[in-house]
Amino acid sequence: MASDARALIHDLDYSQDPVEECYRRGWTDGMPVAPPTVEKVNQMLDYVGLSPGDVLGEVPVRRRVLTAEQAAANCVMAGCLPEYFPIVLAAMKALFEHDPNCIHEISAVTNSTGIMLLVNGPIRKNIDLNCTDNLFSPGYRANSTIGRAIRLIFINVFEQRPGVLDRGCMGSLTKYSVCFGEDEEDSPWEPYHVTQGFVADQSTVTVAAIQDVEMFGNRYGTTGESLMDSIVEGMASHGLAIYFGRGIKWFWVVGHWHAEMLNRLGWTRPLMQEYIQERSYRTRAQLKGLGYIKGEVVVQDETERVYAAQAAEDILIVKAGGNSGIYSNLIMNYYGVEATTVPIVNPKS
Amino acid sequence: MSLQSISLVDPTGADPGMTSLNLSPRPVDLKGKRLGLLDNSKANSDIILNAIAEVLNQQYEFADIFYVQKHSACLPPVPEILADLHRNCDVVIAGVGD
Repeated sequence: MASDARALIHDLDYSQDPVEECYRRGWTDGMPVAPPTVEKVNQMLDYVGLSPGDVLGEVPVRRRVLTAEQAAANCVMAGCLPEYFPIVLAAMKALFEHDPNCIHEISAVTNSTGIMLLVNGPIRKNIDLNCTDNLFSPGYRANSTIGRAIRLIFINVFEQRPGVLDRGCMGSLTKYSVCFGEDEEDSPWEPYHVTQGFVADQSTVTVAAIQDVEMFGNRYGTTGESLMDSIVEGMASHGLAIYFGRGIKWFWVVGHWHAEMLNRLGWTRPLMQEYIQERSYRTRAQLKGLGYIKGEVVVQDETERVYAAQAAEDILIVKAGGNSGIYSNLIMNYYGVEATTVPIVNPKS
Repeated sequence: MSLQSISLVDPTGADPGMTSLNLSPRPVDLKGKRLGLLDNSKANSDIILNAIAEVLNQQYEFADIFYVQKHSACLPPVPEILADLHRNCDVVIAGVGD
């Protein structure tokens, strides 16, 4: 949908520092941003062939629309190159299509959720997106700025500022940027997006609302069961997953040596999903004792199981990370935006 | 080096259809009114709302206390809930828990 809506243009004189001006106007996430100059924003729009007033979506509950120009300005501020813009556009499209109000919901909640972007396909290599060593660390422009662009759109376009419409209680590091690629080249399993019905050479982004990433250091286990039991412990002990009891999925980001062992021992995705799902539970009595479920313990609570994942396919297995140690990461996908995979396309092509 | 001006694109959103809203008339006295409690469905919201209602009821002796819960803590009430509140209440307390 096109519109005539155009962003305001602020002309600065030479005495004004543009970075400080962005701070003064409240446009940042706390870190300095690249000033969204008219030239840079136009470069971003030209790369994808969108007009400034093109409407990308609306959040009805906030009565706010996102235009291509606003998206481009926030991408510039995040430090994105124009080549990253199609990923940001695809991610926003996924959110709008999942449920446009989810963009409000995931910030309005007090339990502090961020947005995870998992990228598959050839675009990972084209933009030098880190898929291996130090996967979740700073250091790679694409990883650091693509997720940041999403957050800046949330802050600036949808007013999701801390203490205003972002009501996270403890907050989350995931609100800075969580964007990474699957290590498809060195994975024993087919790429994640292929499991979701895409062909391997189609680039995709998987969008999910998540809570903080947890690392698992099973370094002495020599069986798949030992490794997966450590993941089971993490899932079963996660109070919020149990509390919501619906729509919760899990990303198990399997590190290099964990993937090597699992593959060597013949573990396939479906076998692992089943093994983990049926063991990841606590009794209702345990959860009431821990304060995750309301109420006094009654007799049947001692035997009633509450599962961290309702179905085996809710455990999503991705191979990524470095080979310097023997680790995996576990990420809870909160129901605000259940993992959604969409193709990355450049509207211009 | 020459000094040049710079033009920034405003990255913020705006409500394209924003209109001014008016508050409903405030009741001059709560005595004998019908009190509505709108639970936003968060943990412990019911506890704080009922506690407030109990305290107020001692002072104002409400004709009725009507309790209703939203389907989502993060989204506005569905039209049916709003209609119920309009039909059954003179004043409403909307509560947040946690």
